[in-house]
Amino acid sequence: MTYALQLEAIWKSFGSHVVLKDVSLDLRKGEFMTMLGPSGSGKSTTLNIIAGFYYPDRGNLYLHGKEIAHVAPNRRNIGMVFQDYALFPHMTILDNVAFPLEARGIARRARRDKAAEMLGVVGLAEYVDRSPWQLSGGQRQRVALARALVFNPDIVLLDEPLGALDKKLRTEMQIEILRITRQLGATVISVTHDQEEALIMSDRIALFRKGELAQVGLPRELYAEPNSVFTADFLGESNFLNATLSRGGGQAVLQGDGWRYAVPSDRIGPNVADGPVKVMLRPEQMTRLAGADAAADRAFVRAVIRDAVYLGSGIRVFAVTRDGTEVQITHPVDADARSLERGCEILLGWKSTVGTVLQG
Amino acid sequence: MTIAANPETAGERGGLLRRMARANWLLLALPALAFFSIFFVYPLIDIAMRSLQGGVVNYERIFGTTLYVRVVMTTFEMALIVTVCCLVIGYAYAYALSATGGYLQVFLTLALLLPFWVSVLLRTFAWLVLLQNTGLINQGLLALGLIDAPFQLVRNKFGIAVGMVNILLPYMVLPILSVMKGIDPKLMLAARISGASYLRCFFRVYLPLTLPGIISGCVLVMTLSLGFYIVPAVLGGGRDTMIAQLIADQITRQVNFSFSSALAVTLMLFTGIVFALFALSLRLAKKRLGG
Amino acid sequence: MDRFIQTFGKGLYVVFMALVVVYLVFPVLVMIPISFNEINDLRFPPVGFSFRWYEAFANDPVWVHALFTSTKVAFGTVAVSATLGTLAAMGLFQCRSLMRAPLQGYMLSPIVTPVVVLAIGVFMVFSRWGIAGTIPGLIIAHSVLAIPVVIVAVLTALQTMPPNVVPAATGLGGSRLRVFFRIELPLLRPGIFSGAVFAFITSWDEAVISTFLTAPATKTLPVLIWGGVQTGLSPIIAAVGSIMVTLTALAFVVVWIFRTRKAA
Repeated sequence: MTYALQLEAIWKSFGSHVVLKDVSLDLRKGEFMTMLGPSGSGKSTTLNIIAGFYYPDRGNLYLHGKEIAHVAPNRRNIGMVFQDYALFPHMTILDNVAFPLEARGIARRARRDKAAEMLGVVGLAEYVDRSPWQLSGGQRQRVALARALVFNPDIVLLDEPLGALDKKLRTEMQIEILRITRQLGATVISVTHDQEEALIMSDRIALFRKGELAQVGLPRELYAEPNSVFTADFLGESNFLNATLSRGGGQAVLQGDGWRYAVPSDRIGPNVADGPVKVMLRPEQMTRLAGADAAADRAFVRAVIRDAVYLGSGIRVFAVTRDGTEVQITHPVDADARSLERGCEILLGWKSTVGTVLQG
Repeated sequence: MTIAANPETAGERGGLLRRMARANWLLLALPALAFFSIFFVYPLIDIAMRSLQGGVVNYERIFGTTLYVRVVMTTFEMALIVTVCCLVIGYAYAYALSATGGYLQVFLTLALLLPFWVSVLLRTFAWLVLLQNTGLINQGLLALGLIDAPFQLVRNKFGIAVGMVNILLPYMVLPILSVMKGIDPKLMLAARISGASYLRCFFRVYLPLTLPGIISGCVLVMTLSLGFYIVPAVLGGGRDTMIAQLIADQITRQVNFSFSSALAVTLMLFTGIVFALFALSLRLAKKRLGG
Repeated sequence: MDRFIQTFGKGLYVVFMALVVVYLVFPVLVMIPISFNEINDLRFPPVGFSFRWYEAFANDPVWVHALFTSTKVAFGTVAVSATLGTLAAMGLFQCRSLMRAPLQGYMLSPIVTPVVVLAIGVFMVFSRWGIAGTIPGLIIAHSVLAIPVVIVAVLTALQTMPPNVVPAATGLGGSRLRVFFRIELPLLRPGIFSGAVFAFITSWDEAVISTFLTAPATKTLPVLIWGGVQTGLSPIIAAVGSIMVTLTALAFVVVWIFRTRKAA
């Protein structure tokens, strides 16, 4: 199949600083992909290379099978929504949206009709004659989206599209952007450092780390089956318990500090070597055990409470195990909650069937 | 005002102090205001009074004499030429200043501002030396064999333009530069990815956004060039007299104070009209940008 | 093709800018080599190398007298304009009423007034008052041009001053006068200093008003140069010009260093 967009072994450096190392990525038509990562991880550089604002040092870039790595941005047929929208302040909303059509030499009448239609799609039909500075942040966002979509681009790039909005509006716009892009069948690449946004909006997530792709996959894959401590740490809260792994006879034995259990070895990724490893557990996967519950099929660890914070829906307990590892769990608000005092020793247990073993 | 800005003090001590604080600024500005009234405004009023000695006869003479009308026309012609030249060169220069950084930017700034603080008279003198028939430029062209006889580069409008543009360029560059610095570079990227070529990007986005700077620069250059005296006097020919020269001549040679005053009022009036027209267009341009 | 046009255009632009820099700087710098000519001609490149025109300048009592007159007038102008200009700038800065914009426009208007108009006005009025041709008369007239320059410099400094210093100091019990001398003035020193330097240069270079306002005994350097330019081009003018250019450049560099050191 041909992909909407293919990045093939892209390298880029600024001076002696290598910002992208061998990045390869495919995007199917109609897919919504989010490039996620901490600042400086290379996601924005990748976006700029796709847009054509930078040219890669090495590697290929295909848009619908056509090599475009060194094509000027105005000849790429790519739409883009900028972080602060970058609307043209001297033009009306209609002229802003009609601008890409104007640049493509479409007649005045036709481009105004098309722009008005697109403004209708984003719900701003009655604002055509306003100036950008007369609109609210959310409305500007919609205009920027309309401008990026009006010429049926091959793909649409969103650069931190919700960064400038407040929390409530952000959630609303996430849904709106999904509705509009789905309605038009657009292929979208979004850049963000907000993991929640990435989980909500994306078909797939590409997680960047220090100029490389750490993991690419469905949101739930990245959350439930991270392939590294970095991915697990970046998406959601996680606990990492120290353990030693030894495989043999279809069994993998995990030996921790005061605990030990075995799982089928096919449950452990092939890239994890025997020796010191980390067992990743989400806070909701660990529970507090009464002494009697410490049964054979349950793994458990002893920890000392450092702090307990009331969250409304539950109590977040921060504790430290004997080897100094910090762990946190979500404790229900019940009668036991009163005994959660600083300095108390508790047993934290988990099912041996959960937990992901990662290279330490 | 500074005292009243502190609510506690103002509240405790009540109204009198607050009123005093409010009038404070006037007290500070008063010496300069008085100074200007006596030594700047009063002389201007004196000019206006003298110009009306014997009614409007002086003004009739200005606008009824072909010679003087031609001087007014020459003045406007030169101002226009100089403004256009300054705009073309100054726009490019301002862009270079806004687009570069580091040592190159410091160098370009120095090249613009250092001459700015050297006296107009000396720079005009230098141009006379360079442009005259035996000057560097003509000698250079002759030596290269590009011309057979020296070009007349001075004592004409060309000489005046070279000298005036040289002096007025910073007045064009600085307002344009300050506007360029405020333009979000992402707007250019947005235009590019929307499919606009460099040319369209410039004419549809960049140029309109710098319009307020262009207008401010043109106001400054135009109004200043209307009153230029030294440059046309040194680098101009007899047929290129501008109003300012006429004003000075009427005092130093003809000793005709009232006619000179009428010319001065005329010059001020023209300057004011040009200024008002530009100010109006600036307001319109800014309104479109939402400022 | 696209890239060719782009590269070509860029090259053309760089060449154009280089020419503009030459155009801006050359007439200022050309004065210096010309002044070292051995012959009695403003030749460039200069013929030989000699200080004879500097000697001629130093040995000519008229030029030396003009140098002293210029210096006296410039320092007088600095004293008057730095005082009045600083006070006025502080007043304008504190003013929050609607009067501020028109007042500021009024106080800066000498900058855009045609100098010739100002010159004949001042000449006619000062002649009646009997101060035309005197040094105080020159100082006053130059100050009209220099005060706006000081106001602009001090206002710029005020706008970059931390906004709460004065209210805080007044709130702590400092009297208004004390706050002014102990807090505001030291903070404003860089602004006042650059304003004073620019005022000095303004007076030092002023030619038009001075030609109207000087008597034979109070001719300033620019007045003599002006006369020289009109009667005949002598290399002495280049020598005087070189001295003035060097002084101006020095003053400019001092202000520049002062400002960047403050920013650092």
